[in-house]
Amino acid sequence: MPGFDQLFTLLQFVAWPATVFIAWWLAHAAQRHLQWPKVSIYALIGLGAGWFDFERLGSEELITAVADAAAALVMFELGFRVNLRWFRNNLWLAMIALTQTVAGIALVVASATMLNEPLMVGLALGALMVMCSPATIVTAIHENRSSGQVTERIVHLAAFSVVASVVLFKLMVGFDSLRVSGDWAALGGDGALVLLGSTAVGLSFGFVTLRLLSALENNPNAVSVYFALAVVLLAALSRALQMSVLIAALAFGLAARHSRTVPSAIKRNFGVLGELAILVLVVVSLAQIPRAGLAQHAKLAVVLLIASLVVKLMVNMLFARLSGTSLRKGALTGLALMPMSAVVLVMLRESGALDQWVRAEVAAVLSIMLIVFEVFAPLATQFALRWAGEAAQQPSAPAPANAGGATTMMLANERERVNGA
Amino acid sequence: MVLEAFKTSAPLTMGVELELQIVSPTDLDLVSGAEDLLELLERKPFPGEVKPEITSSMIEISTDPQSSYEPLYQQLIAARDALVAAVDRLNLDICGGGTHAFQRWYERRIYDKPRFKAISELYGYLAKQFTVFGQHVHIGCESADQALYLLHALNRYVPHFIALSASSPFSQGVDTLFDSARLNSVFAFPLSGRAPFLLTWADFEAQYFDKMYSTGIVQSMKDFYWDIRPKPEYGTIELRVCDTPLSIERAAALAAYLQVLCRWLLDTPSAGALEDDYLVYNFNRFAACRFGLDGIVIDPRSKESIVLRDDIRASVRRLAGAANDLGAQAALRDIEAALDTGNDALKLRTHYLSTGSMAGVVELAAREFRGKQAPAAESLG
Repeated sequence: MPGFDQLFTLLQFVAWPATVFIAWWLAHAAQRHLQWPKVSIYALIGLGAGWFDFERLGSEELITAVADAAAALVMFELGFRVNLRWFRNNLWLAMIALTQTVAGIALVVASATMLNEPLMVGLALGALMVMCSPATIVTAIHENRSSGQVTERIVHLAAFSVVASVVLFKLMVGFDSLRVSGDWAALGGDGALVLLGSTAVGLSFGFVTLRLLSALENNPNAVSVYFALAVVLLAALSRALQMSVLIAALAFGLAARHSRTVPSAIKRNFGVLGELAILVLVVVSLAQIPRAGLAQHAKLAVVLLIASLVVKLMVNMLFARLSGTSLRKGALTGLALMPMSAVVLVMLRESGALDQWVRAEVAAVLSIMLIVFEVFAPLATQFALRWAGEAAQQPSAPAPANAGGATTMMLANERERVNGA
Repeated sequence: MVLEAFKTSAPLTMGVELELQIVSPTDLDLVSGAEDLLELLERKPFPGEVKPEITSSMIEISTDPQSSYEPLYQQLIAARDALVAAVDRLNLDICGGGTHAFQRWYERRIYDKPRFKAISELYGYLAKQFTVFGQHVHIGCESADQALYLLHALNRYVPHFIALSASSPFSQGVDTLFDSARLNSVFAFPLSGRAPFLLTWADFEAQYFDKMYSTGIVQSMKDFYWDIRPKPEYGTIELRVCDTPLSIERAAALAAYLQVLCRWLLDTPSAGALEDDYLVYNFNRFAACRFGLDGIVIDPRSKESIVLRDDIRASVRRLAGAANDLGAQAALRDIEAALDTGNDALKLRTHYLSTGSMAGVVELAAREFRGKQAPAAESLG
């Protein structure tokens, strides 16, 4: 049937660009009229594309390459904002990061075990659920132009969560291999290799590119494009070397930040490019969510959703004052860290050594959680930043002017004029 | 009577207020951190006082009244160390300097306080553009008339303080060619400039303040943004022309220079002001802002042109006796060193020319503020 073939060919060409275009348009409209975070709409459209099997319509290599590049851009941005010295200056912050990770995994494993899931499922879920969504967090910060303790903390804790999740998941896969093959080298080898290897790749890449940068003019656009292209190259290189794209890009961002050779003029979030990267990343990731066996895992997913939120809230509140902020901001930090990353599905899919049944089981639970988290958690982050008073100021009712007669009169006249207009 | 009574205070005691920049260690831009910083600082007694300023990237510290240079300097160091420890804990940084080199005024946020909101509503964008950072020095006066005498006698020395403290060569990402661009932001306000030439408190009240009050333009002395203004509630005069210097050492030295100068002016009644001295006031002020220590000012009496650096050097030598009496020799040595090596504006501009980086300028300012005594990193507990 030539007609159907032609239609399929046409769809293959336009499905993704059209989806991304619609997602962007709807997200901006929703943000303008409903103040809804753009990432939520990207996620909804991505889910829709997945339900319609759009995934089938694109080349898998191309989609992977685009998703890698987008994730790497986000991680570079995150790394560029992370001040490693802060973890040393404020050891309670490091304590929050560690406790959140350990308590999170422990609670997930305990919940999964109570609901009769095997240990490996609990461990895999625990390791992957550690990761907060860097894309959602970076986007929320930019959209709200937020600054303050909640903002700083979610950036640093999200960066830590990515590294912890990647390493712990590798360890967990190694543990699974150990159980099956008795190979002790598999236990720590992969985790250590991926952490050290990816960091080395990111840092060496940073070393070279930062030196090449000195030949360029100090122009914000040129520098931003330079780094964006370098990050895309690093993503491809990391994949070719079978290293973690996320950790390598994070290490590159850290190197760029701590070298102090990067002009401050680099555009935050890479400007237009950064927005496109996050749009593509979220739509593509959500379209790939598996839809099989969701219903029978709903109970566990709901329990884990609650456990995850409780751990983040409790840990951040527990150490809030000790780490130098208020209890309120501690709670809002926990709330803002709700978004979960769809990148975990890619990690799961690529964990060839993990038992296939475990992978399917974990994927089903994560899918339900991602559907909820990717759509609603950006709202929680946005609310948290606004409640913390860290989002850019919205126009508010004018304060009573403590001025004399003439100025009070001028202000009253102006208000009347503005309101009447 | 609407003007607050002038409280007397111990003569020649001094206090310093410093407006400081809160910057992000990530990109060195200004960042809204005042609320978090104040929340943390409130937990322990602070050496002096700390409070918010009009935009949330600013913070103001002030010392207690001090009788001499050394305790003032020590209290400023203690305040600086407390601030540095707090910002380290919050992933912020803090620095002096009269302007931030590359911040964009429209990104600033008005601090959430009714008075600041009211100022913002009245002055529109001027309020956010007022994200500039000054050092104010108070000198205690035993009477209101003495305050007015000093206020006007000091007019000839205002350029000294502008040139010595100048640390705002950059604004909104460009070199302004001024050493102190900050004062141009202050000039935009309708009630800035100089106080009217009235030498007794009774005249000041009857012939100026009451009339201004009756127009409805002002409510209190706080509404005047003069270069030097009387502060009746403290019993002081307040010099407001200085940029916040990059270092605590320079801030303390400037305060002590003013104290010694006031002592000399009180001991030398012939040094008092004439109304005609103000004929050259705005020109001299401009010369100091634009050219710093290299500015050429006009002596209002002899009509001679003098390079500010030379005028300050002569003044410092004249004040040696008073400095000995007040224990301010070290402060005057710092002032002389500034005459030799240049002011902070020169330091910042030189750094920019060698690095080409505005962020580097702010980084240098943050390093200078920490000085050599920055405390070790905060640990658990």
